[in-house]
Amino acid sequence: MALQEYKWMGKPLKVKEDVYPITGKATYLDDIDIPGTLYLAYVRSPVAHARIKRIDTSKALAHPGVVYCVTGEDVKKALSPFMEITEPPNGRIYDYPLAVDKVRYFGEPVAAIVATSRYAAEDAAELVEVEYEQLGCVLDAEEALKPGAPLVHDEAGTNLVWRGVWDLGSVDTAFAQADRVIKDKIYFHRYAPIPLEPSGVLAAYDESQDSLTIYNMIPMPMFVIPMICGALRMPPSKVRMIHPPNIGGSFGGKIMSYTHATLVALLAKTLKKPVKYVETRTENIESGTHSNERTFHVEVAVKKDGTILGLRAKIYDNCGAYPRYEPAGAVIWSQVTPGVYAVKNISIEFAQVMTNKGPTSPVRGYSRLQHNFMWEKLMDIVARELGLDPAEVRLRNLIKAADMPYTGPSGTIYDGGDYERVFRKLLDALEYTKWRKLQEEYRAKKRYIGIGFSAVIDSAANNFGQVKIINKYFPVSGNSEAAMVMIDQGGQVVARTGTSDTGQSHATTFAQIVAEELDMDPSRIEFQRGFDSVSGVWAAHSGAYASRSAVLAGTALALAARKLKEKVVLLAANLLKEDPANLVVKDGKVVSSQSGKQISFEELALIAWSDVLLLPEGFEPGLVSYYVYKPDFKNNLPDPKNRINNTLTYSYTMHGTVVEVDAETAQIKILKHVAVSDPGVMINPLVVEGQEAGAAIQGIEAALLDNLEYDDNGVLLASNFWLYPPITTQEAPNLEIIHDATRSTSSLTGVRGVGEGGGGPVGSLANAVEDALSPFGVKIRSSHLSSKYLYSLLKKSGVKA
Amino acid sequence: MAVQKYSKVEPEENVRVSVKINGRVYAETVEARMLLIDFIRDVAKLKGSKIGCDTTSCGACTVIVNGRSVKSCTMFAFEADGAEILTVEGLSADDKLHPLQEAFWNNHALQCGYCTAGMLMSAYYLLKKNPHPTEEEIRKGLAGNICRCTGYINIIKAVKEAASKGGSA
Amino acid sequence: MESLTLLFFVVEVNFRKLFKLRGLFNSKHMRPASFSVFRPLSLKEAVGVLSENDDAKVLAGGQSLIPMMKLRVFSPPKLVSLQRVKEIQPKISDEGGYISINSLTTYEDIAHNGDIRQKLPALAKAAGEVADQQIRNRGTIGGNVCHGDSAANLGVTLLALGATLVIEGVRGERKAGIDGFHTGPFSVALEHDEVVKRFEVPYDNSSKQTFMKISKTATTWPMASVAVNISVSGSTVAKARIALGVAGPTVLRAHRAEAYLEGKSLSADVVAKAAELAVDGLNPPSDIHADSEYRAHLLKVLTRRSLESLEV
Repeated sequence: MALQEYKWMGKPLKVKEDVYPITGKATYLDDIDIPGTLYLAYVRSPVAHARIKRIDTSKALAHPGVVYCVTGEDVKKALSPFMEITEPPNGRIYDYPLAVDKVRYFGEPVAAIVATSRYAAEDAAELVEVEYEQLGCVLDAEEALKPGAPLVHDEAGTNLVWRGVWDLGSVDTAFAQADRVIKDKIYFHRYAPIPLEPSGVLAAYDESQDSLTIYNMIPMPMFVIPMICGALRMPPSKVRMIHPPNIGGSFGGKIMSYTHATLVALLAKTLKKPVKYVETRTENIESGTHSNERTFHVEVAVKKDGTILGLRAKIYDNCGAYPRYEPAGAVIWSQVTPGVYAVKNISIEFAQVMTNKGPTSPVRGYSRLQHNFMWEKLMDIVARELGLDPAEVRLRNLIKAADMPYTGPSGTIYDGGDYERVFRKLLDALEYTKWRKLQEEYRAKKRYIGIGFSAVIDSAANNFGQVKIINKYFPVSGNSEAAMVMIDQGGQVVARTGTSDTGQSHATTFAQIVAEELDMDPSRIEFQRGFDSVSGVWAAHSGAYASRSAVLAGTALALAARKLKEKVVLLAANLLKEDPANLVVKDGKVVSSQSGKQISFEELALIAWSDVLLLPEGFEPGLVSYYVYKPDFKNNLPDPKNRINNTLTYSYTMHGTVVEVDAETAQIKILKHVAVSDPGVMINPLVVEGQEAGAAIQGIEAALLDNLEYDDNGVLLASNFWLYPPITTQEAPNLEIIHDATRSTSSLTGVRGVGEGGGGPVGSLANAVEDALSPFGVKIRSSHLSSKYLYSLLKKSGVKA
Repeated sequence: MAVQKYSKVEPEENVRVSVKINGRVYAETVEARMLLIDFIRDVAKLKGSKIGCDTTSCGACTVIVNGRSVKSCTMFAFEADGAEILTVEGLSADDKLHPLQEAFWNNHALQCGYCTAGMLMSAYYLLKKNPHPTEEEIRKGLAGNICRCTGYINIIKAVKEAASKGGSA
Repeated sequence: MESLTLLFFVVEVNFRKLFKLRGLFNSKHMRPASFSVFRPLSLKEAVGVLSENDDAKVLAGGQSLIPMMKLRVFSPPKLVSLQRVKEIQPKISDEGGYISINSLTTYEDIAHNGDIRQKLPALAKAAGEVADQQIRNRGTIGGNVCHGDSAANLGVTLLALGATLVIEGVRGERKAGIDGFHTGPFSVALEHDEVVKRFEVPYDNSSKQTFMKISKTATTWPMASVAVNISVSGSTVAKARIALGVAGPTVLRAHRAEAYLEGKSLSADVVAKAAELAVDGLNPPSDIHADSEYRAHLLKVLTRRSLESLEV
């Protein structure tokens, strides 16, 4: 494979920026102190759906240290409602940082206190009296669509956010030709991404310039600028967005913190003082962001040999009380419409629905992880119905390597790879046949082992053109990223891009990309971390989301470096009086292959930046280049059948899990987990593997531990780490991660975006547990495998302790 | 710890707290309710230790108090009066990284880095008590520290490496 | 740390009265309300302060109390810190026939103490499995037991081991057996002006004991826990004590199972029957992780497995 013909890319270089956290020197948002800062605390709703009758802030305002108190009524006067992505009727909803008139989910902010200390702000938050008139709540998406269901937003007149139909291929013909039609219902549960650093914002107002500086950790800073500035009624030029050099994880979850940013900015401007807010963990879990809850009513047309001819699905997505970034999630699943399978005939009716649960938005694997799970459950359902081996059914349906790049039924262009080879590697590494044999032996001893598979496509570097499926007037499409590479006055190579690191080791990996172009040791390249909309470079799409940084920022950096190199060669040729064709850039200097003459970056920089009269005619002073990269997705915009290539690269991972289930206690133990992936060209394998491992463990956690369970009244029962315990060292299994890397046929560098992982092991675990308990006829149709749920299934199937 | 003598037990709303953190004394009169983590971050201005939860679960605030790892969010500052505290900032002496820090760096035992300070202090305590832990013992020793990025795999590797290189120093 | 299970129970039973406990699901706080603190140096001073301040709450290791105060589920206006009380500083000693453990002794001290590991292995195991290392480094046996949480590892185990509490009050010292010490959810048979000085935990060479739990993650409260303590004579059970955690409003003895076991050898049938009896008529609390029935089932399985694990 001509895969890694790179010199500096592809090396597992030690991550240089890791030194800051390990010495306690890394700066995160809450580490930034501005003297005189005030602190904000929210008052939040203890009920899911209620009219706000009265808010009395007088006691809170009288508390020592309290400076200000703000309610929904106040923000309604001071702010415009946030922009909505959908067209009316749903686009008619009014969304503010604080609840106005009504609360719509448990934990929704209804008022905010500003005080001189965090302690005082919390004291006063307890003193705000709110009188609620409770309303009936609706928690289930399908219930919410029934006539007479309580309306989450009265103005919209419906709980439906958006409904779309994908009718791809010849579905009726496929069903007519089927040997069997299998119907089922699959459920994907709701969980939260939980970066260890909760969201936060610090805003300061500069009266002398009538401008705001918002320190934040929103991973798409310029994408949310229209939201923030629109609400504040300020032009973007007056709002400076800054990210600290370190952000403590995001997993998509921090995107929605623009509501906090807007409120804190408003208060900073009103009070003319810096204001800071940092979520508590409880706040983060209940309203930081949730992953979409989804129900699939599926029908598959199959042949006796397990070939899937077609799929019909009605899908209901529960996006909670405010759509915000939604209904983007209602189309993003279509990046992976057929999963990894060569199914051409697919009909999907997709409805996204509001309920009185917390708002959803991007979470690692956003909208695709649910869809991937549906396919992986289907594979096992088909296998079981037909009495076939689930591995065999998968092999029969996988997209063939010969068909790569593969244009799927919804217009996606899968960018290479060999799915079958990867799956066979997985079978080998997992020792599939060995475990199948052991399974038999163990069963005789009343021990229950199960084996499960799942494949996920990790579509990366998204095409916002897909949003036009929802609203053709919404002025966003494609994607872009900016980069700057310079040789500064001291001869140091410096690089910047618009995407901020939330734990993806950008400084090291991006230096490797620039190093490749300039053929020099990456340790000599200074990548500047953080984001600054005034002094940094950015594009409107900038940010670390949708696995886009490696591909889009990486390409922008490569192209900026290439441009810089041209400039360097031009100057060197002039100064050395050499033909540019003979000049090679290497190790921080330009060398002539003919004469051996050379000139260093230091010497070039001095002339280019300051001794500018020595520059050739027409040569722009300085050694700096900018590049804004906009990828061509080929199928760039949706056609009338909603077909679009809605992302650029499609890395994929196949997971295999072996579990043992204690049928008596309903406890699951992972005996072995193997993941085989094709990440494309790896910039730094150490980083790729780290991201993949983290994604896999989060998937395991989602299946076994994470579940945002609400009671019938819409009270979230799992709102802190006691009730929603994160996975610890003692539950997280060891993983075997294997790479089968091929170049991406879509990205310039051959790199694929990786790391979201699409909830990979959620499917393999559900399938493994069902396999283990197959002697009892237990059917698993849910993505969450709590022991409580398993016990109920075991009991139903008559297992006796 | 030096115990002061009190003739009469009086209630104190504000308490004089004097602690030695990484060898330097920080003394301040603070509210009795001030949590030790707030003292470390906001009074001593040592920002390396983090807050990641509200339920004594995540361990991002872990520091060593009088030789024991504790969650500094679940201790009042007054309880640390007279104590010696070690935080992540004090791990490396004379700009030389501690073997655990070296091992964390070598093994990319972090991604976002937010858990790292607490994780290092728990690992430090573990190796002090048990210089050659098994993987099971490492997993038990670090169970009070949540990492959301790495899946713990590289963290466990790093602690093993540090142990093999005498990281209990 | 508090047992959520029990709080759910309390919330269900006493929803109106204890409405603030609902804050557990809903708290937006992470810093405690104001309070003033007393820092006595002796037990006499401590109980004196308590007797004069009805609204004061005792602070030991704080690993249960401080989290509740941070969430402001509980906001006592006054704390009496036992940190400097000299008579109860961490200490474990073998007194011949029983081990004496001062009330500020931490889980960590207990888990690693040689005498306890050898003579009271169930206690060492239970202490070593409390929450996580940092909490074990600070949480104390006195705090754990006086907190009256039915999910507390030590409460369950000390009940099975038949510990005695030595209590200091304004009226002097008294001793109390652990049976009957737990009176209800988060309540124990301790007067407001009393402080537990130490625990006396008996051991004998014929005792076989263990502690087992099932929890969602290693560091969260058990969904169910069991401690068993069997004295054997020859090949039969002379005396049995079985304690169940998260089984009801308090830690509970499985009296019927204990009585059934006496005089029998631990055959598979006997053990299975004892496990049935242990949960017969039990009505454990429900919570998000396990409903009452599942919890009773887990208690039964744990009882059986605990008994099976004993090398009798």
